[in-house]
Amino acid sequence: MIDEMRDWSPEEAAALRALATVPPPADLEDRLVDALAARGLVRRRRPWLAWGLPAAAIALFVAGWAVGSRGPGGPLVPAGAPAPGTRYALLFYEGPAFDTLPSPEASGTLAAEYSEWARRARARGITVKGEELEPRGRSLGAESEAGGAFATREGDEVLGGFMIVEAASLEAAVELARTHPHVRHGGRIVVRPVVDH
Amino acid sequence: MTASADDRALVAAYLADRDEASFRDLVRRHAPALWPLVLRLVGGDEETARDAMQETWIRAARGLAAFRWESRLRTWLTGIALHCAREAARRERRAGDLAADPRVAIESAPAGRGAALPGASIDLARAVDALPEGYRRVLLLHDVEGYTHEEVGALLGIDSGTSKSQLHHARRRLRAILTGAPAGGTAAGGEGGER
Repeated sequence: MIDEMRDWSPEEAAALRALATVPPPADLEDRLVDALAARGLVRRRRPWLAWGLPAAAIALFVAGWAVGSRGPGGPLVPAGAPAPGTRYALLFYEGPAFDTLPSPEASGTLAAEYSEWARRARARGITVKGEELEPRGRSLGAESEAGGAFATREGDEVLGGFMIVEAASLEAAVELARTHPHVRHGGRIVVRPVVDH
Repeated sequence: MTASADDRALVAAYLADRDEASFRDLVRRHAPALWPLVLRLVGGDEETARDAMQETWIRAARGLAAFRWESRLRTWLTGIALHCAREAARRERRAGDLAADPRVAIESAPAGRGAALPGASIDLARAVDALPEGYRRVLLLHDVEGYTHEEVGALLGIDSGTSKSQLHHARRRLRAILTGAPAGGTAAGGEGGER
């Protein structure tokens, strides 16, 4: 690379090379994404976060993905208290409807609805634990390029998060999932029993 | 997986559906190297550098599909950044002033992050900012970024001999700025650059 630096002392040469280590501003990446998204050059995968929700709204949304308590049954819970230890995974898939949202207000509304669902579930005694997934990663395995970029899309969908809930039966878990606003907003939820070893 | 293979995989993932995550990964891989170059190319003004970086990535995003991988992705991005930084600096009416009178830049440029070299009257970053544009570009690419004269020539559209000549003058001028001594010669050689 550098073929000669003989006009400089070692200290001077090192000081010059150190100029290449000034870190970019912390907000530069988001600014670039915003600029490209505004021009249709980037498709957002997390519209309710990427629109720049107030911190409180984000906190509410996060709470919606990670809550856990127990209480009396109610409208969110089908007849019959969930049997302790009967767990189901709710896999949240996001279709094209999640690529864009019309406004920050709409994003805030969505976050509030998710949080309200979680709050009601908690109030009804349903144990809910979950995590939101970032739309990036690495894919391994026979049909993947080793360490290659993760294919975030599965057809038209992206797995956006998951929850583990307790319910009395698969049908009860499905009924619970059916009430989640994710479905109403065009998303899909897959309900899978968790194997208890 | 090599760096080039990583770049290819990320670019392919990005181009597949303009995926935000892949784009962010590309930015995280290359913006840390582009930023200090752009910052110095525009004379140290952060807001101008942000504008130049934004334009760089917009043009890159629009041009990625046509990128043929005949050079490293980093080199290709650097070439775009050179153009965008030059345009941004000119929009801010900074580059011409800095090139015409280094003393103005020394007095007005934002504080840099360069080292204060022994015997130097100003820090290194500000001294580099004060170089005439043509000198600054060659010196940054060769002495700071580590490109060879052949690579500098390709990036700037000049031959490698011109790059060597420009670098020689740039170093003399930089040392003069650092020590407060007369530069000697003229700044005319620093006004060249891309053909």
